[in-house]
Amino acid sequence: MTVPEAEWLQQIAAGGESRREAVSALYRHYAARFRGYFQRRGASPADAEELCQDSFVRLVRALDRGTRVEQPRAWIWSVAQSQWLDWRRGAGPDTEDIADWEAAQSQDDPADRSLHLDDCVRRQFAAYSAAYPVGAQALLWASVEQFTAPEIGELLGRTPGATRQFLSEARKRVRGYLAVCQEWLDDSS
Amino acid sequence: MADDIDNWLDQLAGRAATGLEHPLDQALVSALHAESAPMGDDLGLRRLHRRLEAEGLLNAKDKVRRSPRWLAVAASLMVAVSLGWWMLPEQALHEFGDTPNAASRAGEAADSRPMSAEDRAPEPVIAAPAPPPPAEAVQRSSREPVTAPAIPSPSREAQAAADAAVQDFAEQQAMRERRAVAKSNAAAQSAFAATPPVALLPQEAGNNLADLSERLNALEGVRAVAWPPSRGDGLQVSWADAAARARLIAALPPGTEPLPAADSGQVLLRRPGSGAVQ
Repeated sequence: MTVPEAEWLQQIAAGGESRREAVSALYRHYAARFRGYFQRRGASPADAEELCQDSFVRLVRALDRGTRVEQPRAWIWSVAQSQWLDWRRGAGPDTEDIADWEAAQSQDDPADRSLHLDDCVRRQFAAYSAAYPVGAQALLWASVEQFTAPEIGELLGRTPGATRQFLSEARKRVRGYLAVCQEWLDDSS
Repeated sequence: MADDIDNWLDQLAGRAATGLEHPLDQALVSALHAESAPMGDDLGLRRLHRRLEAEGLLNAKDKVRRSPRWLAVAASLMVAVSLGWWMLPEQALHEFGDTPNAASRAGEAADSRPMSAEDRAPEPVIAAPAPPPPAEAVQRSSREPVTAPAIPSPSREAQAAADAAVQDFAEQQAMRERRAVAKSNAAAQSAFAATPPVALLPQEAGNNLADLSERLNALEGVRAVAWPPSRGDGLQVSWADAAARARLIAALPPGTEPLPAADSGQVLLRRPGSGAVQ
């Protein structure tokens, strides 16, 4: 299966006028995800914007040097992750430690009947992301990027087994956050 | 558990044959995709374009980078030339350094300055005015493999280059010898041509050439010197014009063989039986 990312990366590596077009397509596709990723890792919106720009420059520079890319999407995210790690070394420690997970309390008011189910889920996931940004990013990678557990493990620096354990915990916790939205389902039924 | 979570991941990604069963999971997937949906961020994109352009990355790689290949070829040639150049003079020096003749010939080639390693170093192989090796050294070098004691195991190419250089030295030696013979012949011919005609003095003229030389030198336009200088058994006499010739003839002992008829010239005055003129 050819993914558009592979073609974009080839065009960027080739240079010329097609590079501009490929960079634009890649940016439109990934900029919001990168910003969300950096913000979930603890960066402010302004820092996330800078990190997003730096990531694309880093990506183009790597392709310009002739870097060979085997798995386009995983490589794109590894570039963003490297940018984040470099930035964190200068900006301070990460805000989350997986070992220090704590039970998060829902900030939503289930009694607010004006909320739609999708709104409830979106707000609850935002709350979960604030408390467990790494878990939220892993779920995004799994759903949006369609990464498998081993691929996510590479980005997280974990073994496939540890990654599955981590994802299982993440599923359990996010379902806990989403439980408050069950009432909308009960009401609709 | 692994199968369970992998199946759940497949459902989240849409790879599973069956979709997500729980409505909350379906809503979660919708929320995840909504959060990652591409956004029209033209401002950020223009900013990225400007930055890439400022760093020369926006349209880079249009120019094919040929320099590394050329650099590699040039570097290989330089290494090969340097290797050959570094090894050849070393071998030649070893061979020449064993013979005193080589040193003297090297001195001729370089203003009588003995060749040293310092002199040798900056000169390329082809242009190096290396002294010719002695004949026995050349013959030995052409028969035996060239070895460089100070350099460990030269390559086959370097060995071939060394043999070629030794052969070149032999050719230079032969050429120098031919030139030396030709130069010697020319010098002999020149000396013979310069030898003035001989006029024998009379037997009774006495044996005191010194007195005769003194008398002749006293004449205007006449000059007499002992000849040859090593033995002094003759006089080389020259005159400047006809008047000087007349004065010279008048001053010579009676019975002296006739002088050349030229208004100016020179003659060797010898006593009879003093030896042949060279």
